[in-house]
Amino acid sequence: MLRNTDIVVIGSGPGGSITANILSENGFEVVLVENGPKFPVDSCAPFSIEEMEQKYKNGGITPTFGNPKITYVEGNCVGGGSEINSGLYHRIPSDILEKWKEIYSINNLDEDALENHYTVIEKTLSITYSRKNDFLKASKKLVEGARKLGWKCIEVPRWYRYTDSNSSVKQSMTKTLIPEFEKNGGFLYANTVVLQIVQERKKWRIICKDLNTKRKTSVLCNYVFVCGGAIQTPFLLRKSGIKNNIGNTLQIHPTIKILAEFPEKINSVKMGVGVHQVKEFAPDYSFGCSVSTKPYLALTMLDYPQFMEEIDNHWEYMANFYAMIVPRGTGTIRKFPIFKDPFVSYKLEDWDMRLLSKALKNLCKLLFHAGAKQLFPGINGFEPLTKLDDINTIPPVLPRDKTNLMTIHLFSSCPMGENSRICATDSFGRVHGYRNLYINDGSILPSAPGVNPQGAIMAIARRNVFAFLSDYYD
Amino acid sequence: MFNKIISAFVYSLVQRKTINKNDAVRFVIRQYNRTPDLYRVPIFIITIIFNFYVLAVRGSFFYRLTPEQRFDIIKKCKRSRIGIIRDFIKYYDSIVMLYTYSQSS
Repeated sequence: MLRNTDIVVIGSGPGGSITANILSENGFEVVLVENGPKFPVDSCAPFSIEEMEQKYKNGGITPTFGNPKITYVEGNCVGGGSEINSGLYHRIPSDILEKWKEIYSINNLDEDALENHYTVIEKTLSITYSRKNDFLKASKKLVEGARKLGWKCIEVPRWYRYTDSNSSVKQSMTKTLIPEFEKNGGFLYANTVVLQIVQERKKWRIICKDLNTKRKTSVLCNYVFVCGGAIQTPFLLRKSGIKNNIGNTLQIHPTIKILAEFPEKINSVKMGVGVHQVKEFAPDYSFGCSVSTKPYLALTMLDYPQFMEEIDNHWEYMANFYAMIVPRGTGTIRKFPIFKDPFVSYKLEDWDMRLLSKALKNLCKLLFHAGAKQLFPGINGFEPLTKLDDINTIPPVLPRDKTNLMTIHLFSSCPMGENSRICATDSFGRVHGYRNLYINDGSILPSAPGVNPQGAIMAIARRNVFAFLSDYYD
Repeated sequence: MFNKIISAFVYSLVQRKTINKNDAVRFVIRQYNRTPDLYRVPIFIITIIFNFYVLAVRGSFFYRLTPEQRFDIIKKCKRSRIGIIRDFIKYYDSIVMLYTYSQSS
């Protein structure tokens, strides 16, 4: 079966959704192809195993190759990462924008140029601060520890809309831009994997497979926007023979978790994700409060099997916290023969392992100042810390083979900029050497921004689509 | 054989009587099938080698040992100095714990 259309957008995460929506609003016929199925945002409890099975790539557990291994999470459903993340919104820090402009030679990228895009996105997603009495007790512990140490701690707004009944609904892509896209006449192909993209004269043939019927289809189009995320985008492009600066410079925010036990109750069945972050040491590293349901507490406690029963008896007194760094190390994404999944490797430098140790020590210090009585850092074979002095037992460089790291932030695998020696696309996401092939997702962020990246991804994607429209009409 | 080994792992790792162990086995197999193929193949191979290693040192396949004997082996593997052995056990342990604590919450 062959279909002709103006534009195909591959991937329906925040980058893909905003791209498809603006293009369909402007009268183009757009086909939005998504590998995962379509579920409403409230189809299951957030951070549950049902959610992992429904909406996460590979059931939620994907490790990178390298030492240490780093597990990462990708969304695999209509709406992508926006359906499963914690909904925390940041603008791109101005010093990071300056760095990107200078190193990667990016045209027209500053706070003024992005202001209008931020404003529209913040309105569309109902970016708002939490109601004061909604603050989680665990999140307040971060505030308390930071206040005692005189460290900078901020409340981060989220894409949540409060209803009259005092509950809040996450404004993910399936709640906001996807319905608008469909209303504009856009075509959504969910549960459809793109196998390859092939250039045919001036057009692109998108070869897909419907995962329900197992049948192959093709879509012929004038323009392609690849928005599959920092892993799937370079993987698809490399599979299609497009390799120049593609998949060579993956960046993440390596994150180490710590389980903290307090003398008073700080957890409950309905506990979500905390909205406070400690930014005293930003951009090098930050702290926050992590998902703390019983299964997630148990995962952090895996390194302390002798204390596993504590979860049953004292889980209401426990919460997970994290320290997240901006690393120097980078990773690669490759396609190997025979295997159908990407080979993702990541190499952290010694400097990164030292920074992780520093971050972990300061997080422990903060949690003890907040009143924690016992801390369980994610290091295999380590003893729990029970007093401030125990922080000195954390080695100055975390051991690579025993440290458990994870990340939910992935980007920079196809950096944008005019510096064609290191960049995959131009300043506005058009792949170098191609007239009608674009990347418009987290892959093009030139480096780790040090903050939750969805706001940055959406603002840059919106900027790039308008640049495309302006070029097109010119 | 592979499913028998997974089943033996689950029955040893799930300590609670309230958890339906057959459901837990099915969950672990589903998660295994979702694992990226670059990991799935090595996990399959290591699981089989592990079973034969236990045969060589204990005189019986892992899945034929008593739950106590299996638990003892798993405990030793968790403390192993060899990273790949710890990672191998941790793979199954983390999926089982995720399932167990999801059911209990």
